[in-house]
Amino acid sequence: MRRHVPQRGDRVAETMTTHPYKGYAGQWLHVDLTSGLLESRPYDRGMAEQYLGGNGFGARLLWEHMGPEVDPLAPESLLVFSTGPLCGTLVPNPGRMEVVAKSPLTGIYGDSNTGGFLGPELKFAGWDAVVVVGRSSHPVYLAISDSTIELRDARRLWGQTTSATEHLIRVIWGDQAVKTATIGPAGENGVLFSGIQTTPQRSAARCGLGAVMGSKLLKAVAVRGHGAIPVADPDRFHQVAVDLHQRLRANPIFEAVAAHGTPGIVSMMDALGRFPTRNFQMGSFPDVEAINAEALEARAFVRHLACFGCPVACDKLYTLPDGPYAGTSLRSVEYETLNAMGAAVWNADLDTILEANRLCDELGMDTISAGRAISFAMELWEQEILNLEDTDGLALHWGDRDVILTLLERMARREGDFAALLSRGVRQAAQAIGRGAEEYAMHVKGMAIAAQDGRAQKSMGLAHVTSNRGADHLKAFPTIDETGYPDEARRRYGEDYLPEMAQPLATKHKPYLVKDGEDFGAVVDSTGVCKSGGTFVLAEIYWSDVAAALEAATGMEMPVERLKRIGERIYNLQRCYNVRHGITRADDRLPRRFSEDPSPSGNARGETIQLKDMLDEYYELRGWDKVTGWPTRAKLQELGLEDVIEELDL
Amino acid sequence: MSIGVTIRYHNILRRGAGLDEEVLRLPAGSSVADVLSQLVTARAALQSLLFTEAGDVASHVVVFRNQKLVTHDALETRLVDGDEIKLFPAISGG
Amino acid sequence: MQLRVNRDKCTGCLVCLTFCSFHHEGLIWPDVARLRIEAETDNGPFSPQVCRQCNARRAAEGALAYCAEACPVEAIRFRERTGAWVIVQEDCMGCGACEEACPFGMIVFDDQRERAFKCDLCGGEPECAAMCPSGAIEWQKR
Repeated sequence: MRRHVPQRGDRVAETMTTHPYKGYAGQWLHVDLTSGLLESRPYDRGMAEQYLGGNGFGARLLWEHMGPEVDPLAPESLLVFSTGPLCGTLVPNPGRMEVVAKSPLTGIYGDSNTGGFLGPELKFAGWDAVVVVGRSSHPVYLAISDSTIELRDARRLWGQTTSATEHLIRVIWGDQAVKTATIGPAGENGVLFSGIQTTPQRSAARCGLGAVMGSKLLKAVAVRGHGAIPVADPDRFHQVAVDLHQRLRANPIFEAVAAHGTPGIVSMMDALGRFPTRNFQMGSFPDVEAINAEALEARAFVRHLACFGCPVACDKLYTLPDGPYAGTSLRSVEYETLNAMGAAVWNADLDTILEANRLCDELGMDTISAGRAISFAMELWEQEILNLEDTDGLALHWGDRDVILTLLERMARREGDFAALLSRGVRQAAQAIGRGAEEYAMHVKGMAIAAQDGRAQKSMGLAHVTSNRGADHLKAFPTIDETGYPDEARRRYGEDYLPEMAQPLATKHKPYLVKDGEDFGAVVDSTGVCKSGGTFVLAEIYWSDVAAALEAATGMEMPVERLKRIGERIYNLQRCYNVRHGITRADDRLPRRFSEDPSPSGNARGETIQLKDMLDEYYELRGWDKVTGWPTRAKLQELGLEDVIEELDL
Repeated sequence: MSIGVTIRYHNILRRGAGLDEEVLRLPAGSSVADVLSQLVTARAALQSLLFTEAGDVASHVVVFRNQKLVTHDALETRLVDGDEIKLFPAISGG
Repeated sequence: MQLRVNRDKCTGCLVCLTFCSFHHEGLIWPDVARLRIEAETDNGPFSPQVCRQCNARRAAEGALAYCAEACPVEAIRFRERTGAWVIVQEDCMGCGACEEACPFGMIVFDDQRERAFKCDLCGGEPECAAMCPSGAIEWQKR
């Protein structure tokens, strides 16, 4: 039996010696689909020093090339696939990468983070990032085999589901180990919340980046890499990595996180009143026990699965043993989907949730936004704002499983006026419907709010309005005050911040928690490391750890203060990008329901969230103008963003 | 006089307890702390999951009483008949 | 001591490959790891394949592993202390005979460097077992 390491081309040897910083592959790939030009460009030293990679690299490119005049779905639009210096390396949870573009859903900065194996494969192929511009004349897919790049005909792949596409690409390539990023029919059809599936059926789901890819007639990016990632100080890097692995595994909640993954929080969020039910009318679901982690495990668990290099293995394979969807087998059934296709639409049937998840995977749609479109529509039905004529004959009763699955298929294909309308997201749908529909569109800046409720966790309400991609929990990702875990609050912030820092219903100190989370998160997302691992969910890995890992990996000097500056720079640049697109303080707001309708549920019973004081404090901490919500000249100077100052005329 | 309190276990605490939920009978005036002590007496596997070596309730254990968070400085809260206690490990996520 | 594989525990994380390659090459380079993870699908089941150190127990009597027997220059020799068959790199002449001979595909032949590599049990403390998060690979007494 033979096992050869194939010739991997000279580029790996080259980049190992010529790029000043290790950890990076040293090159990014520029792809112009209009002309067919494929170009290797060196990874700029300044870019690495100022932005690291990931969402930082993407934000910088958007700033430079995607002004307000460029439509997200126009040929000139950029689509950036960006790894980071720690992606594919030895630190725990190193499997992540970012997809960045101007979002067609929100019209502002958009990014989507995805795990699995594609990011590391791209690094082993010798690429830090792939930047796609232009529009092909016919469907194509990009094939990256180490340093051999090709645009291949995808006409026979167009219209296929994401898993069929990946399977066919692997058969044609002759290699089952090819990793892909693919869109499904939803992205092809321009569904504004379509996403991009990445090996192994994980999702870069949010912000409608699937539609950007579809508008370019780019069906997939396929990668195979046989090279190596060098680091600057191997002994030190090994030491740091082993230490992080050990600390992570010894963390008191490691076992609990590993046991169920994100579904493990369903019942607790429900008790907190933080499990959005019936389009946020409530925060707890009476049948939560039918759709929680324990129910999911009992019904369908097959095995634990990990992303590249990750000791947590939070992902699971699930297979339905019987019932109407017997044999349905899928992974990455997350907390968010159990909510979006469960409690939010008043559905207690777990099998239906799994089938809905599978459909979204295959059609290439964000389960959160797709689910929220349905719960929005169901509430409009309840309020009698919609009738059968409006809905293409669908009676949108709460919990109707057929309606859920039918709408998912129709939205993906934009079949029928109603589904086509919903496929534009709740903000545009509400605007078009009128008749008071906007009252029930639960979004911030056009992005649907995920499975958190600012009334139940005040920091999260603030996080939703300050997130740079619209409503999103993951930018700031405040985890230490979800339930009151004071040890973590004490460790990260110190005694002075207790007890409020750890209390979900308190507002004191939360602007700082959100700001710090956003900056740290921006850094983590720029390196290729996962936030569902040690940095946020387990809250074990923090600034000094990431700085140490970066220093040892890249050879860059990285004192913590410098790393914090990078986080701030990335976050401010994204904000400035949004400001350039018209965002002001007026847009940093939650739907009226959160400030005026006291939550009826769980620990949040009786609570509303009032943002004004928290926002004032947040802007102050950020060094932004409290009236306009704009970053100030002084802050941007501090961050070296002179060209931004000029563009915004500050 | 005794009171009946329902205990619901979640996540890995179910494995430690060996079951999903149970009803405990306790003396009237029992506190949340009393309940937790009684639980580990009956189910030894819960000791390391719920308590530190020093005997305090572990920081990462989350307690709800009737859908309200009970912080660790409020464990002396007295219970009444029909109360429901939910126990979770403090995992977060999104 | 030997490497023991518990297949059912493997999550497909590939931590073993990254640390193996790093130990030997100072690079993260799964392609040259001295073990591999077979997968029926992206979602498993997974099957770690480690070098079996064939005939280690009979090495004292002169028994050879397949690779050692095939090597024309006796570059593959047994280390009593670790129980591993080791390719002595200075003696390897890159003929590839060991790779052809191994029935389990555990020899890594690098076309670029024109030499063969195999598991040497990291000198007695195998990294794969040390770092495996799930217990799929363990270092155990026989």
